[in-house]
Amino acid sequence: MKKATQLALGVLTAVGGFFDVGNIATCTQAGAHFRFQLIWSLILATIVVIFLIEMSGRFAAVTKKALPDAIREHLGFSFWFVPFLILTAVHLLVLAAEIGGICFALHLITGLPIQVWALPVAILVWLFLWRSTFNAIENSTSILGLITLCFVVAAIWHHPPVHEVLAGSLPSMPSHDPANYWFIAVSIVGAVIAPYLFYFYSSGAVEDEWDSTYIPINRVVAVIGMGFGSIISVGAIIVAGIVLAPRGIKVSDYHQAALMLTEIFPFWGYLLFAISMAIACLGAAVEVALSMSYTFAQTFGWNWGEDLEPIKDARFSLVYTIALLLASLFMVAGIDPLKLTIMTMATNAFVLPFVTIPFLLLMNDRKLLRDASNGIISNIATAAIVVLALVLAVVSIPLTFMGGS
Amino acid sequence: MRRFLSAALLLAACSRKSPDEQLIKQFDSVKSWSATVQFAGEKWRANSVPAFFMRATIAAAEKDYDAAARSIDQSRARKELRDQFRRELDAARASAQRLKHELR
Repeated sequence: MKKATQLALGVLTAVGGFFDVGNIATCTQAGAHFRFQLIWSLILATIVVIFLIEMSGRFAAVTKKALPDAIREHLGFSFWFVPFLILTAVHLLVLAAEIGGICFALHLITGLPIQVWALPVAILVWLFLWRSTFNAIENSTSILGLITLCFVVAAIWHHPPVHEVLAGSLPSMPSHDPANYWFIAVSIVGAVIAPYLFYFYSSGAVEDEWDSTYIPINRVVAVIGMGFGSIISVGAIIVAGIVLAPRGIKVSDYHQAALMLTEIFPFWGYLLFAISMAIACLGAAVEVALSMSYTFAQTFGWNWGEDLEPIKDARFSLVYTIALLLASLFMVAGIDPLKLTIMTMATNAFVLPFVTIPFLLLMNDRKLLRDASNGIISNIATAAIVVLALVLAVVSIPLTFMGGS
Repeated sequence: MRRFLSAALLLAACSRKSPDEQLIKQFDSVKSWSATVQFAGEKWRANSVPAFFMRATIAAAEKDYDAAARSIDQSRARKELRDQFRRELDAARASAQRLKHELR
C-alpha cells in the first residue's frame, strides 16, 4: 500500500515538476515561430530524459548513493572536478532563470517591475528550503504544479489539426529561418534534459531511502511521469502555435507569451499563465538550489540532507543561501529573463556531455551495480545519448551566433 | 578548442546576409511587436488583461521600435526598403500611441 501511494505520488511529482521556465520559454517560442513543427525535438528529449531519470533512480536505489558522491568515490576527485565546476555554473544560470520566471510572473500579477521582486523571491525560496522537509517540498510544489495542466486543457479546447500535430512529431526540415529553427530545437532539448534534473533525482531517491525494491516504481515514475509531463510542454507548443503564430507574434519577450491563454480563457487566461509560471518556476528554483547544495556536499564529503536541521548541515544550507543570493543578482542587474532563459537552455545542451558521460560510465560498472547495471537496451540508449550530447555541444555555440534571438 | 572556435566563427561568418536581408530580418521583430500590441489591445478592451500589462507591453514594443529605427538609419539596405520600413514603423508607433491615449 505504501509503495502504491509512493508510485502515485511519484508520477504526480514527475508530471507537476517537469514544466519549468525553460519549457515555458522554449515551447512558446517554438509554437510561435514554427507552429507544431518542433514537437519532435520535445519527444526526442523526453525519451532521453526518461532513460537518464530511470538510470539515476536505479543507481541510487541499488547503491544508496547519489551520483556526485559515487562519481567522486569511483572515478576520483580530479576526474569529477571539471564536470562539478561546469555543473555549478549551469546550476547558477538555471537558478537565475527560474528566479527570473517567478519575478516576471509576479510582475504580471502586480504590475511592479521585475527587479523589485528579485530579492523577495530569493528570500521566499530560501525560507521554503530552510523551513521545509524534502517530502514537503517535493509534494507541495509538484501538486501545485499541476495547475500547468491548463496548457493541455487549452490545447484540447482549441481543437488543433491532428494531422499537423502528428506531422510535427516527426523530424522535418524547417520551412523558414533554419538557424533559428535548429537553435530552438537545441534549446528545447537543453530545457528538457536539464543536468540538474537527474542529479537532483538521485539525491532525492537517497533522501527517500530507496532500495532495490523501488526499481520497478522508479521505472514507472520515469516513463509515465516524464511522459505525461512532456504533454504539458506539447500543450504549450500547440497553444502558442494556434494563438500566437497566425497573428505573426514571435516570442522575444515574456509579455508576448502571457497572452497565449487569453483566447480560450478570456477572463482567467492571463492570471492562469502568471500563476502557472510562478508555481512551475518556484518548484524548479527550489529543486535547483537543493541540487546545487547536494552536489557541493557530496563532492566535498559534507553532511547533507534536506530533512536535517540546518545547524546539522550548515555548509549544505550555506551553499543554497549563497546560490540564491547570487542568482537573484541577475534580475537585480536588469537582465532580460527570457533572453537569460534561452541562453541558459542552449548552455544546458552544450554542457550535456561533460555532466552525463561520468554518470553513464558508472552505470556500466558491474562491481558497483551488479545485476542492476545497464543492459543492452540501456546501453544502446546510453550510446545514443552520448552521441546526441556531443552533437548538441558542437552545434549549440554556432547556432547561438546564428539563431539566438 | 581553438579549432572548434574557428569553426564556430566560420559558420557565423557564412551566415552573413546582404544588407537588405539583414534589415528584413531585423524588422521581423517590429512586425511581431506591432501584432502583439494590437492583440493585447483587443484583450485589454475585452477586460482579459489589466491596464498595467498593456502599458508594460507598449513600453517593451516602443523600446524595440527605437532599436529598429536605429537599425534602419545605420543600414546599408536599398533606400526604397528603408523608406518602406520607416513608414511601417511610423504606423506601428501611431497605433501604440492611440492605445496609450485610450489607456489614460
